[in-house]
Amino acid sequence: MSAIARVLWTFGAAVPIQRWLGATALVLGGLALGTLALGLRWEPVWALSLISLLMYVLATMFAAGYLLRVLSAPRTHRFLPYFRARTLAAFLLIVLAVSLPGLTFLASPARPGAGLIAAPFFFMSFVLFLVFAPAPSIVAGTLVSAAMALVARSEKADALFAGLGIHPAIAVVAVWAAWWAAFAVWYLRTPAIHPYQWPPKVLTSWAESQWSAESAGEFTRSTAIATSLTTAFALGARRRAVLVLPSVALLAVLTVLLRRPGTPFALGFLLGLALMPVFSGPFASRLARRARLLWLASGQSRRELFATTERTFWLRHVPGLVVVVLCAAVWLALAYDVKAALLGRILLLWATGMPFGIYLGLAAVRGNLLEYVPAGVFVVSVAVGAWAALSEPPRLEWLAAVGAFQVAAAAGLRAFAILRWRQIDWLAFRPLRSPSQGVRGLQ
Amino acid sequence: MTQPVVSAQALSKTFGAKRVLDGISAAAEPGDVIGVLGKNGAGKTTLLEILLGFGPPSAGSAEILGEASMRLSESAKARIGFVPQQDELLDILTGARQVNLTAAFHRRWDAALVARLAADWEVPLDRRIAKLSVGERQKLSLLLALGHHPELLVLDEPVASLDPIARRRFIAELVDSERGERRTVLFSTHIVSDLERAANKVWVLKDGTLAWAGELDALKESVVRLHIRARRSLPTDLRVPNALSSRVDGAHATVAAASWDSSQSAALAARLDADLEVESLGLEEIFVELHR
Repeated sequence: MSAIARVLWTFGAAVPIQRWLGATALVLGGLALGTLALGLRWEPVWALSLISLLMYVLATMFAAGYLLRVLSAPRTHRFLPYFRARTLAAFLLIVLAVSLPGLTFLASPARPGAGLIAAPFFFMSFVLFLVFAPAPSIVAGTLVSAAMALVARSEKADALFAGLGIHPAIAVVAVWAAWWAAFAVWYLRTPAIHPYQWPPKVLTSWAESQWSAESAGEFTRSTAIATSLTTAFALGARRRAVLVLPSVALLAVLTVLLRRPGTPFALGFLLGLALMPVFSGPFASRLARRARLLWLASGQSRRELFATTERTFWLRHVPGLVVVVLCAAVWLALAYDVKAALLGRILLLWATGMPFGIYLGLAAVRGNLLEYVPAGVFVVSVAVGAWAALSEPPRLEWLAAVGAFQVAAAAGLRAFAILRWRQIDWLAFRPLRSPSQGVRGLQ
Repeated sequence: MTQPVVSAQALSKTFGAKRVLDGISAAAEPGDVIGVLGKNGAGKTTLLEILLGFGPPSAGSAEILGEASMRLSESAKARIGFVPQQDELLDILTGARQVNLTAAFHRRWDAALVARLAADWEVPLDRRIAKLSVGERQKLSLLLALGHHPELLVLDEPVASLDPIARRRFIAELVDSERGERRTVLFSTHIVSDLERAANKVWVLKDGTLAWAGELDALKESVVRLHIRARRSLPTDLRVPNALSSRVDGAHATVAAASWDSSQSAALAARLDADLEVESLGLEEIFVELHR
């Protein structure tokens, strides 16, 4: 296996979700071909295999950009022969593979929408921005989105190119080639690529200096406990709000400029809001892991440590999250004319999902795979709740059932967590991980 | 008889199918300075952390200051100082803020001692911890563990990242404070010379079991290397009692043996019709022989 092929394999199968999606696409694709050979036209199999393939391609497009930086950062890799050239070659092969269908269609007479064709180009460029320059990526994302909106109005773009005497297909291919050539030159010549960091270093350094200045007084026992548990997570709710504020403001400006009530964007944001509690599980689990710091220092028993961790999460993190969610809801109402009733349903789902997520994270203290079963149930319940809340007309009975289930499950998990914390083993504890943490864990 | 400060009875720990500790029984008396030796992955960190109650043993029991490790009281914990292998400092704080934070947990905090140690060990307390070198972080962790005058000090690889001068200063501080306060110290290390300077007892871990637990001097006296020069070729199996390793080359042989008594020398020489020379070994050589 050549070096480039090995890197290509890494790009294509490094993240567990890629492997799952890839395997699913292969199995379903085989099944679909089998049905075809048998003279059956079982369309759901074809549709599912295509969806799996599409999701695998999307996951790979995202992972490849991220992995390019992760692989390029270790200083030891600089001593591997032709490391940068080979890694870049493998990466550009992926770029070519995902761009080729679009570029081919571009030359055909029955050319579909230029926005659709250019999507992989913009997506991969955006991922690169996000991982190689996290701070400017917010601005870049805005510009790229605006550019995509412009390109989507292809008639205007065609007219513009026609006026310049350039065939649109040639212009797009030229931009495509120039961009990747410029990136390749930069990548090969840049002396050092540092490990990925999010939030960007410039923001965290600033926030840290603010935090130190704020808390210059003496620690009390209670503030010492809270600080030991929470400082690793970007300094508490207020500081986090300050960190996300610039991106929220930029997004708000963008959506006001491109304001389109009823567009799929609104649905996507609502779905994101509904899915937010899913991340509270891994978050709470990390807090439980950090309670180890307090075992000797605070003198608290395991039961008391559970109470401290629980209280810290509710008092120091949840209020900040509530503020973020409410701001998002107001913004959705203003930018997309989302009705109050719909927002109310989503907020209700968020409110019942949050305790479920928190106690799931606090109960998952063994670090074994079985703990992902209730996590899976939780994700399914959130998904069902989101479907019920977003359906038109809304499925209120389903939403009520999901809410009741989540609250009951949270209460049950809390009791279970108290039981498990009696024997919590910090030697074996591996916190729950969200899919995004799984990707970051590759660093 | 005084109550042991630390005690393990038939202590075992498994992670999944892997048995990391297997039936460890040992105790530390007040004032003992015990060095825990073992290869990488021998279970040193696991042993120290189970003794401190960070996790339950799979079998057996662990006690500290007369209390079960998993249910240590607040007063017992206040008498313990611990430096983990990977420091648990908060990167975001300056050294001084970290000292301040740690002091907030202890009723008996000796700020003067911490200030003196920080100056002696050249710990830059004004810098953010994220900016400190590995050695500086380790020194900061050490002085934080000493600030409340713990009766029991547990140190997991405390000097691995320190330069020789800093190591000597730390060992000197350890010996001095132990002399003044009758402190019990349990520390794991790979640096055998430090252990020889500071410890009076040794626990040697091998494959999860305790290969040796006892006085350091007794270990050094007990394990010897025998140089055998016979008049004729020696058999491959010399049948030396408690042999740890042996190498036979014609009429010459070298054997490392544990629990060696000088009275055994004459009998062995007579049996093999050979001249016997008994060589004392340094701790590092003993460690190597115990792991052959």
